[in-house]
Amino acid sequence: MAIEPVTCSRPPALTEDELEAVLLGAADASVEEHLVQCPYCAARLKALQRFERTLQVRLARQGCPSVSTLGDYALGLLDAGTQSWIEDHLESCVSCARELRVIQDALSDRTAARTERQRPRQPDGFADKLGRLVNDWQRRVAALLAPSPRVALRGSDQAERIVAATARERVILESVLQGDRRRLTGQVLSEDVVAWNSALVEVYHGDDLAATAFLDDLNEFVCDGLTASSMRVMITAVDGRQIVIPDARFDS
Amino acid sequence: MDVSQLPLDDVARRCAEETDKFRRKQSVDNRYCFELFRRALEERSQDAFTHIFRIYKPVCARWVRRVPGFEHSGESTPDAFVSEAFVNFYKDLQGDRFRRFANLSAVLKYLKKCAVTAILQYIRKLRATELEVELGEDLPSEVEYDQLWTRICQLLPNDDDRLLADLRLRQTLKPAEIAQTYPERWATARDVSVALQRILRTLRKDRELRAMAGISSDDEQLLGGL
Repeated sequence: MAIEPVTCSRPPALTEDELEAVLLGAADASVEEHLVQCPYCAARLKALQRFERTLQVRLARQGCPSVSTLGDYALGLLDAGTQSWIEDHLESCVSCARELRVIQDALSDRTAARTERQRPRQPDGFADKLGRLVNDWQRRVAALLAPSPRVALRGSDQAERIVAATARERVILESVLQGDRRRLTGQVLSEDVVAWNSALVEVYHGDDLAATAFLDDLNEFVCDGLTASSMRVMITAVDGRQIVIPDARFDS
Repeated sequence: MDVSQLPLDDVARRCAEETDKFRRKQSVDNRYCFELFRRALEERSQDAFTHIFRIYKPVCARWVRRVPGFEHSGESTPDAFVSEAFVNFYKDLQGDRFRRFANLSAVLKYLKKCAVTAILQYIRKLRATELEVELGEDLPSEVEYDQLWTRICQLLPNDDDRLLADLRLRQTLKPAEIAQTYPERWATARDVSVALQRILRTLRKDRELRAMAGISSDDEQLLGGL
């Protein structure tokens, strides 16, 4: 953060009431003018705004049931204690009540009647920054670390190995030919090991789904019976994070 | 006929045919699809799951497209939500847990739940990320929510004030939404904003709360001087 001046350049400094009036859109023109000319008071106003935003970042949806639990509630799958807790929570939580309504409507096919409000317009650059952050935790395209596969020995079999990487994970893919079919094994290496346990692996030849598998406790998987040497691999974790290897090509 | 004795490829083929009939609003025999789900989930057959994914991915994609919120998710295709739905579906229903589901309709309803909640979870996360972007700075390590909220409640003994803090700070509702939801307490959005500024003033005066929330040293200096 830039270092702000420590005193008002147009004393007296704006009062708390005057700064709050700005936030309420009820400030006099003289106050607005003061803010334009005084970096110190402008910084104090920003600090007020950041205080509220900080509390929101800290508290947002804390204490709410997960969306999945709301779904289980809608389906009547919860035990009596959890169901009762959700009912109490819904009485005061508008946000959860809204989400529950969306789930109930979808489960009973009433979705067509509702429309979502438009998102408010955000400042320039906001969408780009948000997009980068979302990409950071959500979907990552893995880059191949070498242009062509390397040969590795696996017992008596000769395997070809491809390594792809995102900023946070590495994916090792190994292919072994078994007659006219191919066995693909793989592993996701990440500091966040648990996050990738039980992730879904989809292997496509072109647009056709060739195989699926789930990562085990070591984040490894095996797919048998593949027919092509080039494939797209998508790995989706239970929290929605996704690694995509768009074009894994083996030589043989 | 005992469908559990049929080869997997036959079960999958019949399931695909029955799913197609369902789409064309013809009468269907659900036994094949239910058996395919049973093998994929209860028996954890990888090949059966691949068939399930192939047959139901388009169905699931249609569900995703119809959920309010998908069009504003920023995703051009429903594929990512479909994958997330299937991974959670498998996590929740594999092994003995599948036995809670007596028929195909119940299983599909659960899959649909997974599809809807994948989008809603994404939107929750998106909203949290938006707040972080709006804040424009990284906050120090995690804060205990319970401690922070308990302190806020101590500082706001009035029920309406606590409710407003919950609606605005925890549920991040906008003043207009709050007034719309509780018109008997706050008639207009402006009433909400005025009450909110009063509450925030009380909260930011508290040094302990500021420290708990992890207010930056620069802001601490500016707020402390108010």
